Amino acid sequence: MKGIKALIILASPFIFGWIALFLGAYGVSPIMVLKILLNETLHVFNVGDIPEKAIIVDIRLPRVLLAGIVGACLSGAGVTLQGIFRNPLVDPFILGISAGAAFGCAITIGFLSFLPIQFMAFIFGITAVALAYTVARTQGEVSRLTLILSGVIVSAFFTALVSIVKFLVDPNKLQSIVYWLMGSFSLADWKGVKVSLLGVIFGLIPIFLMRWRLNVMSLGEEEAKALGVNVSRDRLLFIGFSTFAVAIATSLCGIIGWVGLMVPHLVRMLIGPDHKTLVPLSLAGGASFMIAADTISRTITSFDIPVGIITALTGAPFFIYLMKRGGKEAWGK
Amino acid sequence: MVRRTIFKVLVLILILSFIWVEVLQAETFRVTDKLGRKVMVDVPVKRAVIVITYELIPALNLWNQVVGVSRWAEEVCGLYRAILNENPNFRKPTVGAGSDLNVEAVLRLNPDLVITWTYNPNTIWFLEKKGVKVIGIHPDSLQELYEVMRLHGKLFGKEKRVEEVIKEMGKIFNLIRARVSKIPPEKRKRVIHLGGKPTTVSCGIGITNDVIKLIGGINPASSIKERNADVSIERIIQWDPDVIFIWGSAGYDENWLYGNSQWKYVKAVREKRVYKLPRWSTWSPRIAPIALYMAMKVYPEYFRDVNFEKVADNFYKKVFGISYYKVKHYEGY
Amino acid sequence: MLEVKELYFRHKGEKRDILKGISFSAEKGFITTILGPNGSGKTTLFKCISGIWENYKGEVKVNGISIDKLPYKKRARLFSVVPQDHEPAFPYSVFDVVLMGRASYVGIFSSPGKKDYEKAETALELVGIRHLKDLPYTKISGGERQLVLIARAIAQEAPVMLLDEPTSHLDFKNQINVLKKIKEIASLKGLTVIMTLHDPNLASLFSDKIVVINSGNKIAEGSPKEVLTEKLIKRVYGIDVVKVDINGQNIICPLI
Repeated sequence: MKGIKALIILASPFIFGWIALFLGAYGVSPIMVLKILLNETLHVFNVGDIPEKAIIVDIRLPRVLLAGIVGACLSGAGVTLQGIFRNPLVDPFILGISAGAAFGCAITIGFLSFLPIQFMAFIFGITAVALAYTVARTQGEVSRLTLILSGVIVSAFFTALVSIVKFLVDPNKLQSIVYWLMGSFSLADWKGVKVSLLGVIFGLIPIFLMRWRLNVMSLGEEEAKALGVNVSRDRLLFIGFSTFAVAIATSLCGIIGWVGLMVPHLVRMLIGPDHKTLVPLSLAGGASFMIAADTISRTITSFDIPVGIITALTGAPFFIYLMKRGGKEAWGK
Repeated sequence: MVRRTIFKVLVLILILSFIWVEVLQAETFRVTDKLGRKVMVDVPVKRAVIVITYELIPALNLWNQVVGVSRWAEEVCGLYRAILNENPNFRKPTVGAGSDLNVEAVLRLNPDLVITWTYNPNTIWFLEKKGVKVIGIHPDSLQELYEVMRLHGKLFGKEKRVEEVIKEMGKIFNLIRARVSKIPPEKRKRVIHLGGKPTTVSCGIGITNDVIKLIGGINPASSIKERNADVSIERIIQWDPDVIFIWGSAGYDENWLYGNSQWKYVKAVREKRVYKLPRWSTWSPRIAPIALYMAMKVYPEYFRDVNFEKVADNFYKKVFGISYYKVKHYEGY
Repeated sequence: MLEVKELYFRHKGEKRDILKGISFSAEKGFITTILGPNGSGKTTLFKCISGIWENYKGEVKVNGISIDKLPYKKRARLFSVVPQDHEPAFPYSVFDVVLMGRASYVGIFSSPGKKDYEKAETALELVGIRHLKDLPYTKISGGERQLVLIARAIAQEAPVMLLDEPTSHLDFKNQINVLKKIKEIASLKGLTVIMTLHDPNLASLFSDKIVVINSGNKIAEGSPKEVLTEKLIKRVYGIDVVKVDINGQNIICPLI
C-alpha cells in the first residue's frame, strides 16, 4: 500500500506537468500540442512558424518546468529544515531567507536596476542565514531554539530594511517591488529555467545524496554525535544547501508560501518519516503541487490569480483533513 | 461735523460689508469621499495638504491655500519641479511619500484638510483619529476625475477656474473625438496598457480604460472587472493587441518586449508599435494631452496635421501657466 | 579495554570541578557499572567518556589509544552509546532506528548499503526483537524501546558500549530482562560494557566490576562483593543497610 502511494507521488509531477501543457488561455488543440512537442523533440511533423509553437515551447513549457523546479526546491528545503529542527512545522523561511531575498530584490529594483534581481535576492538570502547563524553562535554551541530565535530577529531586521527601501524609493519603483514580492510565474522563461537548475545542482542534489543522514540528525544533537555524525558540520551543510535552493527559487518567482511547510509534512503523514523515501517524495510532491497551483492560477479566470493564494487555499484545507485523519502519528507524540 | 459722522458711518458700513462677505463665503460643505466617509469642511479651505493631486495646485492656483505636499510632487512630477524652479517661493514642506505619509509632519503643519488617495486607508483613519479632516479620492473614470477636480474647485473657492480647466481639457478631447469618430468599427485598433510588470494590464476599471475608449481603441482586457490584473503571456498573445502602451514609470521599456522571444507573436511587437508613455500623472488635467498622445500613436493617419507639442504647449500655458518645453526639460526628455 | 586516567571536568566559567581526578579501568567482555547517588557526577563522567562533553582534563584510552581528539566518526566506531529512553521526534520504524547505528560507516553523500542492512538485521536477531522490526518505534513498550536502542548499539559494532541508566524508566520485569540481555551480549560479543546505575542491588547482581562515585571522587573500585559494604553504603548514600548473602548473590537491604 505504501509502495503504491509512493509511486503515485513520484509520478505526479510528470502527470500534472503533462496535463498543464494542454491548458492555457490561448486555446491549443491537444493534437497540435502533441505535434509541436514531437516536432521539438524528435523533429517530426513540421508545424512551421506559428504562434502556437511559441505558446507551447516558449511560454507553457518553461513555465511548467520552472513551477516544478521551484516547488521541488521549496519543499526540499522544507523537509531538510524540518528534519534538522526536529519539528514538522518548521518553514523554509524561518531562518530569514525570504526576508533577505525580499530585501535583495527591493534594493535591486530601487537602486541597482542594472543587476538581475536573482543575483541580489540570492546574495541577501544567504546573508540572512549566515547572519542568523552567527547571531545564534554567540551563545556558544548553536541550539535549535537559538537558531530559530535569531532567524526571527534577522527576518524582522530585513523586513524593516525592505520598508525603508519602499519608503525611500519613488512610486514607480515601489510598484515593481510590490509586484515582485507577490510571487508569480507569469514571466517564466527558459532563462529562468536555466537559472533554477543551479538550485537543483547545488541545492537539491546534495540534499538528496545526504538524505539518510537527516534520520540521524533528527534524533538530536547528542545522539547524532554519539552515532558518529559531525553535527555542526553537517547541519551547516544542510542549511547551506537548502538556503541556496530557496534563494534561487525565491529570486526567480518571488515569495510563495505554504509549499515548503506543507508538502513535506503531508508526505510524511502518508509515507512515514524515513528520509530515504521522504526526501525524494517531498521533491516530487512539491513539484506537482506547484505545477497544479500555477496551472489553476492561470486557467481558472481570465487573469492570473497570485499563486500564493492558490497554495494557501488548496493547501490549508487538505492539511487540516489529513491532520484530523490521524496526523498525530506523524508527530511521534 | 456732520461730514465727519457720515464718513465714519460709511467706513463702518464698508467694514461691516467686508465682514458679511467673509461670513457668507465661509460656509460648511459636506463631502462624501471614496471610502464613504462623510466629512464636513469649512470652505474655502485655507491650509490644505495635497498628497496626490498636486498638479491641480498650479492648475487652480492654490499656492496660497496649500501648506504641504507629498515628496512625490518634487521627486516625480516634472511639471511641479519646473514651476518651483521659476517660483522658488512656491516651495512647500513635504510630508513623506504618497504611499506612506509622515503623519507627524502632516500634524505639524496644522492643516484644515488633507486630500489624499485611498491606497492606504489606515493612514486616513489614523489622521482622522488625530482630529485632522481627510478626504480620500481614487478617480476610476474620466467622469470621476472631473468630479474630483470640481471638488477641489469647491473646496478652495475656485469653481470658476475649474470649469476653465475642464473646458481646455474638453477642447483636446473634442479634437480626438472628432477625428476618431470617423473610423469605421472594423478599423478600430486593439490597445492594451501595461503597468509595473509586463504582464500586468489595465483592465475594465480605471481612467486608462476610459481613455482607450475615448481615443477609439478597444481594450481587450476591459472584460476583466478590475483596475489591474496579472495575466499570462498566452492571454496577451490571444488578445493580439495592435498597439501596446507602457506605463510611464515602469522599470522596463519597449525594447524589453522587442527583445523577448515570448512576445514576438504579438502584433504590436511584430509591427514595433509599443510605446512608453510620458511620466505624467493621469489624475490631473494632463490626462488630456496624454489621451492625444495615445490617439496619435494609435491612429497616426487621422492626426497628421496635428502638431502634438504645439497643442500641448498651448494647453500647458493656459492651464499651468508654464511652457511645455520648459517642463519637458525638467522631465529629462 | 577502557582506561580513564585522572579525569577532571568543570563547566565553562565555573570555579568548582565536578569531576576531581577520576581513574578506573573496564575490561573486555565484562560489565563495569558506575554507581553513585544523584549529583555524584556519574552522568558527567558518562558524558565525558562518551564524547558528548569535550572539555575535560585527563585521558580516556581504548586499547591503549587515547581517544581525546578523535573525530566523531572514529569515536563512534569505538564507543556506542545507549541513551535513556526518550521522546522521539518522528515515528521511525524499529528497523530504521537500528539501521541508524551504522551512521559512522556510511559516507556523507551515501545511504546505507546491503552490508549495513544485514548488520542491522543481525543486531535485531541477537537482541531477540526481530518480530518488532516494522513497528513504529513510538508504539512499542518502554522495555522494548530500550532493547531497540541496544540493538542499535550492537549494529554500531563498537568494542565499548556505554549505557546511561538503562533501567530508570522500566518496570521490574523489564529491568531484569534488559540487564540480563546486556550481560548475555557483553560476553557473547566480547564487548567492554560500561553502564551507570543508581540502584546498588541491580549493580551488584549484574556487574563484574563496580566503580563508586561520590561528589566527583572515586570512592571504590572492584568486584561487587569487595566494594558494596555496609560502611560504604552508609558513607555514600547515608542509609543504614545490612548485607545479606543469598544463593551466592549479595543483596543490600535497608534498615527501616
